[in-house]
Amino acid sequence: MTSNWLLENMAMQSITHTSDDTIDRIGANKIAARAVSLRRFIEAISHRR
Amino acid sequence: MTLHEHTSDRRNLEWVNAALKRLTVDIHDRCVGSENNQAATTGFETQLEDNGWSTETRRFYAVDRQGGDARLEARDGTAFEVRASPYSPGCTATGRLKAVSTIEGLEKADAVGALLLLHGDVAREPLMPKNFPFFAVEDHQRIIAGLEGSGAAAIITTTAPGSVTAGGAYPAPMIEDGDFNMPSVYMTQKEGECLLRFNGRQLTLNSNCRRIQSKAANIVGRINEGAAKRIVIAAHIDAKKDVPGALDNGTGVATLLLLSSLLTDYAGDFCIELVALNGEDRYAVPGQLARVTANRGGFDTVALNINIDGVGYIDGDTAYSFFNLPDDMKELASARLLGTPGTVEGIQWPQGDHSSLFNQDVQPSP
Repeated sequence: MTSNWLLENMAMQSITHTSDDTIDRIGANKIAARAVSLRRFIEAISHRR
Repeated sequence: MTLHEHTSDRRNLEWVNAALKRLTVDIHDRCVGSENNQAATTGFETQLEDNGWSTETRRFYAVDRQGGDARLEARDGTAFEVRASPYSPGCTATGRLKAVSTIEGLEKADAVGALLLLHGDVAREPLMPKNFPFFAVEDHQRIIAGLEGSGAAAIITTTAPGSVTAGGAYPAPMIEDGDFNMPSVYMTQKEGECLLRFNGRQLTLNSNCRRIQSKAANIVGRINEGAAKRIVIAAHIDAKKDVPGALDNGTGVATLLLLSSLLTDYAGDFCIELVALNGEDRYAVPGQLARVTANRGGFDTVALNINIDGVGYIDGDTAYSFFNLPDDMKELASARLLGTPGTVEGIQWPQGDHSSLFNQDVQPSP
């Protein structure tokens, strides 16, 4: 964990539950990357022995 | 990068962008019990079925609300800016203003028939709902009991800015609870300071908020159903009323939708469940409760639970929080999840729907 992350988390919190929580605050590429890595993680734990 | 990978990346981006637009622009308000919330869950179910997943819809009753306009006025015509607390009953009430700033003061207050103003320490943060199923805050329970025993005609709250549990909304309602049946309104701290000068004087409060009985649903999609153990990946699909809910949590649902495409040909050892939960941003988390009830006696078949919320913020990294992972699973998580750019290990943060399975001895992450 980094102190940057804590600051970023506070910035995130400041828009949640408000009309500022809009699509332009989202990095679609980040979501796609997370989904791809989750799939790889699931595949990895599915085939461990 | 190969041509195939490049094409896949572009397709994944298009998929995510389409899902986010549908959830946050076309549908917009996904408050539990609303028609738009039902449109969101129906759309999620359809997309999973289109990708070859079997689906199950688990419906439950939920309270929606309408209105929210309120007016507070002194006899001399001085008006104060107030908003009806979400899910509060409406009211027309006239009474003297009684201000309290501590729990002890509330418990001793002579407030029968009064408009009870909560300010200062007693109003420092939003109250956990009185029937919240997963944990209780002792001070909050004392405040709720004090209010219900006060005989007050209505409640006015002034919450200071910066409460973590309120998110970015300000002024934030101190009371957001469909199980709490006293009329209440809320205002900024600054407006509350003006109102304090009227302590002991007669005021009239009108509020048009009302509750509506409705229904909502959790959607569960499954693939490889015959497996003995399951991996559950969940995200809450609801949002606060009248907000787009892009980060919180259109992003989590978009991740699930892309996973439904990426895992179409999954042939591993587990049943994979993708779950659109309904009600994390909701006073009594009805969807989470319905999920726990539906899984009672079956949590031992969950090998891993992954909850996704607030992923993909444009200016920040993605944090993964790990709870009780076995060593080999933690090692793989470190390699496959934390080993990618823009990720960081976060603190354990068992809050809201993040804790509903944690309390059932299941291993949630992230």
